[in-house]
Amino acid sequence: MPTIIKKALTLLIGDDADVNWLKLPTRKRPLKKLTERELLTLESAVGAKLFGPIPDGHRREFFCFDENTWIWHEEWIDDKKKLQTSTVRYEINEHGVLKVQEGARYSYLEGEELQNFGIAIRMYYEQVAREVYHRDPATGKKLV
Amino acid sequence: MSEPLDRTQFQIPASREVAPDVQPTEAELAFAAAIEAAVDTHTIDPEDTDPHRIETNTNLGVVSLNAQEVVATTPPVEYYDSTDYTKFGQVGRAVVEQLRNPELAA
Repeated sequence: MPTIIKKALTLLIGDDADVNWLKLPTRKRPLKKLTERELLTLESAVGAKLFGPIPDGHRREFFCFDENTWIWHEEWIDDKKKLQTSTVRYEINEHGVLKVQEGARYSYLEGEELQNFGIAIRMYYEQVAREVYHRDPATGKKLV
Repeated sequence: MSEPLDRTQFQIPASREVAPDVQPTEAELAFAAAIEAAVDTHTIDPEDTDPHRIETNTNLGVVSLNAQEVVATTPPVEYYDSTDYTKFGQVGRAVVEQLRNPELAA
């Protein structure tokens, strides 16, 4: 409690009165350390927004799984009320960016798609840095 | 379906330095407006049922991971050489080590 307030109270109610009840409770909110899965969920919420509004009834995920793997996943209910899912895994290796889709379809990204992938992951880094970790993506310093 | 987009108008400008609180320049605003106008008039072929198409429209522009669809975006900051795919791994490494697990980067 600020000294001046304490002095004022002492003048008003005397110095033998217990004024501890006026103290504000100590803030006990240590930062909870999030698990990697929780961080991925937070990042994915930002990543999904990179691709614009999500259509009604769709759920979209886009996140960096590890340093060489990016995941895009989308779920929606089709006209027959059946759940449809689509997952694409982008694997960065020494030969390029391998696009892995269901049905054992594999292809290396080329041309515009490769360029767009590069743009998307850099936008992801920038926005996740700012919105999830509150850091300047250029310097890594905490944003105020 | 409307006229196909002229992709040449969506050439990505050269990289730029951006501070966290930087305001877009008039050129960037004009660029974004052009993108929005183009996207608004763009319709998707209803017979195109490719589930892997990702068409996007964000405040930064539009990103598509499918080369067959609209491609128009304001550029992110060029931290990496986007023409060198081997550098893409640097982005993931930056996410994992500098953001998610900063102690790894130490």
